[in-house]
Amino acid sequence: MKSLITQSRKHYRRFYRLVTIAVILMMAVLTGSLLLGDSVRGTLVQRVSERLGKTETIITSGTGFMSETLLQHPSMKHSQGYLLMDGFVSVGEMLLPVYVWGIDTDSLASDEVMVNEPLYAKLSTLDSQLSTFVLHLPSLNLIPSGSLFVSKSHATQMRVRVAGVKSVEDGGNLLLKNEQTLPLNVFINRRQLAEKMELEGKINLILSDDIIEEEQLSACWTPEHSGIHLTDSSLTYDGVFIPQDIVEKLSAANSQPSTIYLSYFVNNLMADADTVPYSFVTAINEWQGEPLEGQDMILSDYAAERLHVREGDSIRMDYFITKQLKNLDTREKMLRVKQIVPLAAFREDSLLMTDFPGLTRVENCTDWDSDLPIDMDRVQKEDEDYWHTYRQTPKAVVAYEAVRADWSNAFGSATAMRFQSPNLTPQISHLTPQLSPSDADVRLYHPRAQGLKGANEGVDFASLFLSLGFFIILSAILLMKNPLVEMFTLRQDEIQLYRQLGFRDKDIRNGLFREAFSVMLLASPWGVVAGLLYSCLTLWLLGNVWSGATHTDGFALHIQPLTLLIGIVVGLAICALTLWMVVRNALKPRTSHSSSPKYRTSLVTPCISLLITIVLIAANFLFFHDMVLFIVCGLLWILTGGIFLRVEVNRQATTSIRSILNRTQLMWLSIRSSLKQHLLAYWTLSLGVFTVFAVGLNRPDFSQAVQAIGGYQFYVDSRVPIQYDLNNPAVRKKLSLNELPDSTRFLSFLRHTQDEASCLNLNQVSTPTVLGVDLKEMEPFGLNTDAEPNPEPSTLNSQLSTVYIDEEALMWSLMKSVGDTLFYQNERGDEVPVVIAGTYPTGIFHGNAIMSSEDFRRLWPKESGVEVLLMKSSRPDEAAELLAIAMNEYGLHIQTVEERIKMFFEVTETYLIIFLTLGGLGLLLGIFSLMVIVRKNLAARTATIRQYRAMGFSERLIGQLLFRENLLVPLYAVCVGAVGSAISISANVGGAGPVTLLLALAVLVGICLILYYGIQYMIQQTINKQQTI
Amino acid sequence: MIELKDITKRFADGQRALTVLDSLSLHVDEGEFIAITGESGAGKTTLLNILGTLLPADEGQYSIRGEKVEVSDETGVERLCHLRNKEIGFVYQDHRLLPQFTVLQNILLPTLATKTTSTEEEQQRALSLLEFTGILPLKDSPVTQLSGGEQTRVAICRALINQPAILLADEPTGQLDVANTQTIATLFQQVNTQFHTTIIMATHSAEMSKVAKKTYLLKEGKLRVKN
Repeated sequence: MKSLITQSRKHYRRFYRLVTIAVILMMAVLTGSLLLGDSVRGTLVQRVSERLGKTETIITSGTGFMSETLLQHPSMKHSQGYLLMDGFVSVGEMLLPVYVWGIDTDSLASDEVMVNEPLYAKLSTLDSQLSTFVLHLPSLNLIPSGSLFVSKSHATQMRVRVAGVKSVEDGGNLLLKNEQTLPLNVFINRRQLAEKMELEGKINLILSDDIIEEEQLSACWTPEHSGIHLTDSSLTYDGVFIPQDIVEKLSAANSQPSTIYLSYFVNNLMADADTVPYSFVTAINEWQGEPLEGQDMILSDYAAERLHVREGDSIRMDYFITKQLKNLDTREKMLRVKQIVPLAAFREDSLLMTDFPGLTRVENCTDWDSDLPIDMDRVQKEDEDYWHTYRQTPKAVVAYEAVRADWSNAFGSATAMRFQSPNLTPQISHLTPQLSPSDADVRLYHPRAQGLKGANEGVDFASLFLSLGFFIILSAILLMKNPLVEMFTLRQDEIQLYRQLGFRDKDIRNGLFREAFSVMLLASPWGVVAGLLYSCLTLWLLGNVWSGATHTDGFALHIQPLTLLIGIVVGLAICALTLWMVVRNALKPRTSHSSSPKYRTSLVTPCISLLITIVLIAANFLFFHDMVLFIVCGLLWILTGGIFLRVEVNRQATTSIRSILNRTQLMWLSIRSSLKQHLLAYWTLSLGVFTVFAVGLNRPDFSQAVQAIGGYQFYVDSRVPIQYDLNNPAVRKKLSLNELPDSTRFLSFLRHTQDEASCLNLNQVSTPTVLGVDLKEMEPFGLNTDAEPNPEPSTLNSQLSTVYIDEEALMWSLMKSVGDTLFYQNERGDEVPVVIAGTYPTGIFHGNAIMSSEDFRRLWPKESGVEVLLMKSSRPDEAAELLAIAMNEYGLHIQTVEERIKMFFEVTETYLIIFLTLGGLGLLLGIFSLMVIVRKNLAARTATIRQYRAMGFSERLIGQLLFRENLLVPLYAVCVGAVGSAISISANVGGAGPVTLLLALAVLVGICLILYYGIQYMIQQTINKQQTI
Repeated sequence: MIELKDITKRFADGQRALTVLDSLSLHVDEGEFIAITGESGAGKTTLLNILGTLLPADEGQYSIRGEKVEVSDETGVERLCHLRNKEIGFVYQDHRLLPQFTVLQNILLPTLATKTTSTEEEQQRALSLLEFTGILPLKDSPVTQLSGGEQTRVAICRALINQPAILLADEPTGQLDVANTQTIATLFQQVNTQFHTTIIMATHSAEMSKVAKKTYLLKEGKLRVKN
């Protein structure tokens, strides 16, 4: 039996050669795609290890800092402290955003840094001789830059020398974000950095190789570690403003009332014609054991003297308050002098004085550096004298509740607290346990599980490439099936013989199956090898030629034996199923037409189908403009084409019976005799052409996306949060932007940086970065606010915040839909529900969730600086240049909106190119399979050809007859498929430019030519084989 | 009418050449009905194919009505096709009816070799032939539904549609029973007498040989008269 099978395989090797090719191709695409999935996932997992190193726990301090002494606790034995900040490197005119890591090292001198490999590579491409560069760092202060009285929010800079390159193994690619893109890292001596930033002994990040739990952190953390100076009698905070939560917690914990202090810098204290300008005033809830309430004011004798007031007199106090983005507003408050006390009384209580660096650490009033527009002309000699002697000693004390609302800010509502201790028990032992690390924004998380989850649940390249290569698999199956059908058709006599010899059909079927399947089995290892090559090539292409789709390089092949096994088993199952169907069909008794078959010749069905298609197209054009509906119309068109082909062939062939015979009818009759195969050719080609062209030409309409941005011309990304409203003329003057054309307008966005949810991130994302903006301003951007939020029941009782997410990110990165809920952590560390209320078209904000600024401030009040701006101007280039120069210390990345949209569209474009490449290959394979069908048809018509010859038909005429009947359907299929694809892209005609359209036309002509010459060649070959004269 | 002179035909059989026809000569007069018998593989079909201009002879001369049958160029090929279409009709053992066409369409097929449409006259002729062969009621039937005898009659009608001078038949009754063989034999005889068609038939059948006016035996590449 074995030798019989071997002999048969050898005898029918010309068929089995094609089967082998088809099995190898199918197996290659199948296993290759699965391997690709594993490899991309493996690479992402590897990236998680690379970016985290051995880190198991990350401890952050939010906008504040921690003392490095926290690291001395035994729980922190395997922990490293870092000062991490966003910075940027300027090389020539190029700005590169970088992460600056202050690390513990003795090997880096003060002006030396190490860079990671990606940054080194980038710097080398900019300047191969580069050994030094300017590093810009945001000016980090203990006082958050968003609070009032802090002016220096932009960057400081330092020229540094590259002392070395930190390798991946050495933690060079450290990154806390869940992204696969390699970060650009600069490593600098932490102590040097801290010194430069005046943050000695401070860190803002701890990476631990151990898993540290909340309880362990709470056990080793003390308020002092976060700059909360808690003594038995008082509390002060390095960040000046004590968070409201702490104030409330400690007030509640203390059995006796606590004294709350809130210092402020007021513009004027006025009484009649007398004014004392620019004074520190402290709000307090009690004075010397007595509550201070309402309009009561305790005035220093110094101020009373200057204002010529006595107890009971009224004083007007005016001061600035900030709204959004330090837009100042002046408030007045009428107060009554309750008591006049000696200035020494204020000086005795150090808590009444607060250290605002820009204001208090200067020698003269004229050196005051703050956001406030201080009119120095109003500062008199006596003010300077006071400053020289008493500095920030308040001139008055007012009631805390009277000004709390105005003077509090997102960072806190007090500048100090004093605790009453009547029993003389140490307050500190009682109060310290009341505070937890999260009160000081100190939070920990375990990034590895989260990172691995994102990597493992990221973009599924296996499914993606299986879909992209689906047409190749389908064509390979056709290519496998057709030679098998042809071979078994030729072996009908053999099958009959076996039957005559007494073999049961089951035995014959098994024998034939074993024979053909053995070939498939032998081919499958080669298919797996080809699959490996396919995945290697695709990984290389994804990292290089097609890097536009992933923005990632260095994809490595990861082979999972189980995946390989699945690929092989599925591939062989497909082979077995295809073979089984073919063998089963081959053993079916040949039907001789015992009665005339009924042919459907009525045009009613195709006409109805055509009518429906036309009505749908018209309705879609006039009313819906829906892309999916256009695709459906295209498919309907192809269906109509198929129905029409079937009916028309029958009609023409049936008509010919009743009329005089002609050559055209010969063709129709021949087509009808093998209508099944012709219809198979029709569906293969029309759907192939439709898929490839519909996808290839359905390019995102770049121009539409550019138009839908309210006329804004530039997208500006600031490395340093901008705390000002750039539309404000005073701010423009302050920032040297007063030469901006008057027409220049900015739209500002707050940003809560979370996961990158654009198509550039391959990891699965659960919380995209949020942009806060006035939603009214977003109307031109096509924000779809119609959808009703449908929150999860558990969120119904909470105050709901809503976001809008672009369609692509919602569908692909988040895999959510409108009405779903996302869960973000607010600044207090609580998980808050945020409902997806609607979508907006994918464009410049792709991957970001848009939230109203009110909701944003409620969730993240401390993130008050603008990080994203849109700019429009009548003289755009000039405005952009001026902005870049004036704000060069902010590390602005200014892009035209076209550039930014193009960046995202490039991803879609690249995927389309991949699809086109694979789809084109599939189509070519489909055409090749079609040729096999044609060859089979021709082989089956040897007798016909002989008869034609015997009847005196010339070779040319026989060739013509065969050519027409074999070419008509494929050409018809190509045309119907092309028109169908044209219908499907009607919604987006502008997307494909003239070059693409011309290219598509050329490809279409190419396909027709391949069909024309391919079929002609095969017919010629067939005729030549039988040619005698 | 037909003159074969010293016709030799060889086929390659592995490394050696197999001589099927060896300096064979034959003369057939107009209206003659001859049968050629011989063992299987004797070369009967080869001889018919040479007579039918489907196969060139390696050596020798072949002429019809004194005109040499040869291919020298493309025009020669066209001329032979025309000759085959107009002057020669074929009937094969396996009929070679095209299954996609009806009886009438099969019969009319040869009329399309030189023009794109069959004429009304040709259709009438086809119907007459169907009547002549006794299968007129089957004219619109698919050929796959016909019996072996009916299929042979359709093949005869098709061979006669262009009113050829020569009818070549290769074992036309090879698949038929005795009754049908007799009927077909009579039919061939009628064709020969009524249409004055020259018939050259290769057959094993004694019944068919009987209706021929002359019978040849093809053996070792040469023809010998049997009766």
